[in-house]
Amino acid sequence: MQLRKRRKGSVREQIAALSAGLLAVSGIPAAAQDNPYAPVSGVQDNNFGPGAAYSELDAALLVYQEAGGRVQAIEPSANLAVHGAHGETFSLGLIADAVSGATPNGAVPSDQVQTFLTPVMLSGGHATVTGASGGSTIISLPGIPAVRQYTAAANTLPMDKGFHDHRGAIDFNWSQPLGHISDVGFGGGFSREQDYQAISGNAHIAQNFNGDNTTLSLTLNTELDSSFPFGGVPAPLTVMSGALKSPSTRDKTQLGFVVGLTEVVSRRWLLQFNYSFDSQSGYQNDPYRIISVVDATSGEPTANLYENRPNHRQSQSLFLDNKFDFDPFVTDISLRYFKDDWGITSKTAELSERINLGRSFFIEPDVRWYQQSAANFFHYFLNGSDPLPAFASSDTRLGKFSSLTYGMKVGFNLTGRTELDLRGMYYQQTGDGHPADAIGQLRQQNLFAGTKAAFVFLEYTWNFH
Amino acid sequence: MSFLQSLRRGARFAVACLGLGALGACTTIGPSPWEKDLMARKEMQVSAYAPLKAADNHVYFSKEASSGGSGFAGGGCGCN
Amino acid sequence: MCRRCDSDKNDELRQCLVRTCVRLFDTNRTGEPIRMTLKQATRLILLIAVASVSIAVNPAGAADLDLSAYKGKVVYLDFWASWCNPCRQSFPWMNELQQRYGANGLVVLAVNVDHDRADAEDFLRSYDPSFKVVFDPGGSIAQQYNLKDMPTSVLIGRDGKVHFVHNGFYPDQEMAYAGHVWSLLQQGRNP
Repeated sequence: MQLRKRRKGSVREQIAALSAGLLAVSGIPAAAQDNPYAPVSGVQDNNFGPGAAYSELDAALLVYQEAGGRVQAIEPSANLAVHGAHGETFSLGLIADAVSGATPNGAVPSDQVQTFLTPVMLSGGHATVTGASGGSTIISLPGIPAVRQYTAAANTLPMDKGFHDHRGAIDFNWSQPLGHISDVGFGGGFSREQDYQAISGNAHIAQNFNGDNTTLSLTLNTELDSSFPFGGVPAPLTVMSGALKSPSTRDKTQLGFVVGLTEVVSRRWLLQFNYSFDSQSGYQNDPYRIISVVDATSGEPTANLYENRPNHRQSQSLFLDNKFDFDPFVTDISLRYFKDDWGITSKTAELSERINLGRSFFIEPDVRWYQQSAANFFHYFLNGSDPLPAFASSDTRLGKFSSLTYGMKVGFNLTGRTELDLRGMYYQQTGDGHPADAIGQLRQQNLFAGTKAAFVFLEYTWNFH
Repeated sequence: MSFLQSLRRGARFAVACLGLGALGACTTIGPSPWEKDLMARKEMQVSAYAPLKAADNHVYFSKEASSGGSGFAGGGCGCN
Repeated sequence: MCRRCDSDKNDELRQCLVRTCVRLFDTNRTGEPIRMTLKQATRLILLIAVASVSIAVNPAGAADLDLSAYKGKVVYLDFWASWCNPCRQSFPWMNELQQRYGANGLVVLAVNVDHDRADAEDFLRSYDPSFKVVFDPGGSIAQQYNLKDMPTSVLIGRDGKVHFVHNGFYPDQEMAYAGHVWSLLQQGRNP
């Protein structure tokens, strides 16, 4: 028990005696008790935040499933952030993901069965098994490299079912105050999957003004991506085949910056405003994606060509976020406007409402609305009688659509230093599958290949010294 | 004090502030350091729930054409 | 709020009341009592009522910090809050400070600026200070000392003047803080 002079007979004295008794029973070593700089015994030290040296470990899991047997993914991640007493932070993150399932290959549906050929991924030697591999057949004939063949039934959106990928990524970040500068730092990342690799780097500087109510920040980011698809990089707008292609790799470089302003407007209102600029140069195609060339009258697909996108892409975005705390309600409203030189403009609006129910539990419903316009080289299909354009893609990701996400998050503050959060989301893309320029049989088809997906996210946070 | 008086007082203060502002002697815009209790909470931090935001961004980035968004710095209780 | 002297500070209110009363019931230079109109009387009653309510609602020690009781002592005036993380490190240290230098004339006064008293009391249960705690939920004492940071410690010497202000609390500067306290304790003692 700590020997301290206390006001005689005070309630505090009694509590101290009680807690010392608890301490003795719990078996904490005497040294900790006698240390005058240690907090009173029997109490958890919840000292996590500015001025304290502590670590935070986040373990998370994302489970993603699209409707209709399409893409499913599982992505576990872990992040460790070590904070020093003077604002230094080092963080290290690891992510792995396993993605599988069917994905639209970019061709249009037809009232006939369609067959698609693609190079097969060989792992040491030829594949001689002929049989289903996620809905595909591997054809191996003597003297000819194996190819993978799959079909799409009549009047269905053609999907490549043999799609699966594993990815591992690591990232790190260091930041600290430096002299009069509030925060400087840098970071990097490396991500690798079976047919893609990305190396990234970033640096930032931030300055607080106005009694720490205003923060201005500048972040520079850069990335070098390499695409090495199975069977090599196809020449753009050439006919889809199972033949091996060259080159085997194509690269892309990215350079961008973000200027941010964060403002504590009032006791209850936090505002954030960011401007982002991004420039990408190099190979930006999806090497597996094709676009159908259709007959000018019947609308039947006559050929499948590998897509082509421009080599340069420059984009800008404006982001505004507002957080309002009206205990126990915390409202978050954010807006984003995006525009690039591929002709895509998009608007995003998100609203979430966190409701704190007591000290240990909260629920947070949220809704996100998104709308984007099509890239100027987006086409659902190409008309066989028209000259071939320089760039063409039927990737929904570049098309015109809107999406809605409904989500609900629940959180449990388990011990004051740990938190468990669970979030369920439902995401739905909506687009016009019956464009005015549909020809022949395409008029009876739904050309929109957008997604409906549900995803669940689980995160466990643990603070410790 | 009456509404007019407080208005006059406010106006005088604002003018003084603008003048002193140039000298950097003005009081801050936004709450005082002892009024940052709500800003200290986790739900009001700009950088909280980073893994969740990263997962969201990953999903949207792979299904949509847009990128870019929230920052990382600022806010908080401003302690120390 | 006192209409006459434009103040909501309790000490000024009290002085204002006294001055008003003295003016009303004192005699003028020629020795004749000053007469009061009904309007003036109503005003006086209202003034007393408002002042009393202000004092009652903000009892001395909450919206007002009267350091006259500590004249001749060194006052370590610390502003803290339950949401302020560095305060968790400062409390055990301030306990130690009070223990060690109390006999030499040091008084540690911790002013709490939490909006919610319950939060402050939770914190106090955990850190059980042996020094005096003052509650300032309206932030008027904090305003008075023009705080630039949280936490802030104001070191007031035996002469009643502010000698040092510590913005923030850093454990690796505890020696420096203690040095400041010691230097103030060394400056002459008042009877």
